[in-house]
Amino acid sequence: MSEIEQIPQSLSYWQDVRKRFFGNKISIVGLVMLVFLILAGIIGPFISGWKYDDLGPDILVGPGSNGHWLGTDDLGRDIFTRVTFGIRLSLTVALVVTAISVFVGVALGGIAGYFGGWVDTIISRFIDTWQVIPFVLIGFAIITVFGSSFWVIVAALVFTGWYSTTRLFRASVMQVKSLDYVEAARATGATTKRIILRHIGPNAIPPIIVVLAFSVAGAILSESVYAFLGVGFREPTPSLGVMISSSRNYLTDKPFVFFIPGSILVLLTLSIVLIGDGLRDALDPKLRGVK
Amino acid sequence: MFTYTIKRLLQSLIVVWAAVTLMFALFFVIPGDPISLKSGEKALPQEILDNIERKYGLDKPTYVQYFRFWGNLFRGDLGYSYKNDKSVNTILQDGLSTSARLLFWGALFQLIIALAVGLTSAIKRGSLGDRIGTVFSVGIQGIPVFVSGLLAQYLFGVLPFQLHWDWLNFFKPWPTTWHAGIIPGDSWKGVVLPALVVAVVDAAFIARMLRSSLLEVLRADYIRTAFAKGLSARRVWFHHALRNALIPVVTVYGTSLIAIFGVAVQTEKVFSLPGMGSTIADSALSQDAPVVLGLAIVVISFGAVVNLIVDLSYALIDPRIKIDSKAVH
Repeated sequence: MSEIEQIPQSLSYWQDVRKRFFGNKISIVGLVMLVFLILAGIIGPFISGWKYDDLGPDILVGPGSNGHWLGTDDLGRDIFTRVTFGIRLSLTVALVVTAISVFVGVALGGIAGYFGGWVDTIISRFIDTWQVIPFVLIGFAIITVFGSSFWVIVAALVFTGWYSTTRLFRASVMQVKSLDYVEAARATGATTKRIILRHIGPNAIPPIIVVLAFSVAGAILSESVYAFLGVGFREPTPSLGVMISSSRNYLTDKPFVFFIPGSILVLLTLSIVLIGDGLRDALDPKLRGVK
Repeated sequence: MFTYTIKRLLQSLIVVWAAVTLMFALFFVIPGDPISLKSGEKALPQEILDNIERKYGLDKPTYVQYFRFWGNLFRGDLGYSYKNDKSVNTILQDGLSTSARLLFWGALFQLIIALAVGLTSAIKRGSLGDRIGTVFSVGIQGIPVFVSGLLAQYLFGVLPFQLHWDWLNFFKPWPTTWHAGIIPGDSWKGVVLPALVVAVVDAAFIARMLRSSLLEVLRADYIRTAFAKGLSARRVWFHHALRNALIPVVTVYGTSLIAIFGVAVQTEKVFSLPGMGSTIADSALSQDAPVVLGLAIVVISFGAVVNLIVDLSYALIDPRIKIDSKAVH
């Protein structure tokens, strides 16, 4: 009887990934944190009883007073409402940006990696050029010229993020392309379309998932940096970066005005980074079976 | 090695040219408007508007502006600010010294922290220190620079002030005098916080990279051979392992030196330092295109030089690359 139990269960790759991801305590902590923050972002603004730009008579009151669960800022606006709205805004921007960056990265990187030759040279040189421009500068330039509406900010963030997904997917495709089983598929007469969709694609996907997670975290960070520097969302939009920026003058007397949006921003990015870290380990086939 | 150096040098020049052209295109195809910057809401007579346009060369077609821009650039003239007519060269010099000092100390701290943490956590793998280091370096990735800057100000400025712990108060003004250009002449404490904030983000990342790279190298046969030959642990660690483990780390260090600009902008803003970063941020806000473009050229060239040095130092660290490049040409 016990003999049967000892035979290790055979798992498919994805079953194994799931098992290893959920077996990792740190990524579970990240997941729980993220779910909690997402729920706060969805429900928070409805249940607080205030609007994010409601100016009130209670200026800079501490958490818990006069029905303001997390206090109010220098204009008497409810911090809880603004922070939960900020989570919503950060995540929306980050998801849109990541979707576009990954799309661009998969298309350009896939083309460069699969076809090689002059196409690859052009795309790679373009990435080289783009790489020496620091991301803040790209954002500054775009937002200086086009103003700071939602879609301009999204565009600026895509412009700062597209090349890392492109570079990564290119490298990943190139690596998979030269593997023996792709050669074998080609030798048996498979079409280019079939090789890309059935053989290379599925094997190049795991690194994309990891990049996806880090790209969301990166976009949240970059958005907050732009907002903090004054070139992203502006008052009264409740971006976490805007809130932290305007809290600077009250660091001495009312530190909670800084610490609340600050810690929410950190928890938000941290939870995603932790999930990304866990995913990277879980998706790595070399770590299969390693405890 | 010589051909390789020349080839990479030419590549860098092309990259700088392309990047600067990209920035130029962004700013001057859809030009920022110097006129409204000067006049505000007031309506000015057409004659004055024309004069202003002529002064900045905006009456010429874009391609003429472009060639003129490069001509001036080669003479070392970056043009004039739309806002206050100061020459961009002057504005640049004012900011550059502060930024250069901040970056120097930041990069130095970064290197020291990364090497120390990376080496100890690899040598004492699995120890408490290693685990704390790992948690810390993952955690720090989620903290944006401006938040850690404000947090540092609170912990080492506001709090010690309120508790009267003056020894812990590192929130001091930026030094006004400097020895040999980079050593603070007064109030050295003023340098520590901003430089640490600049250093710490990527230091954690580089340390992790160094740790995993070292652990991989340590599994190699030649390390076992070196130990078996009876070499001292110190010699094996520094001579055999570290040198080979540094190759991937150098790349990361290079990219982090380029990214350090974004870090510096936030740090300068948080600590109100009159550096290039704050200038560029303020100029971007007021759509002062010549200033942003001028500073961008400096930053881009710096990035290209760093990339070049990284690539050339590969050849120094890893002899295989030298041989490969010889075989190709």
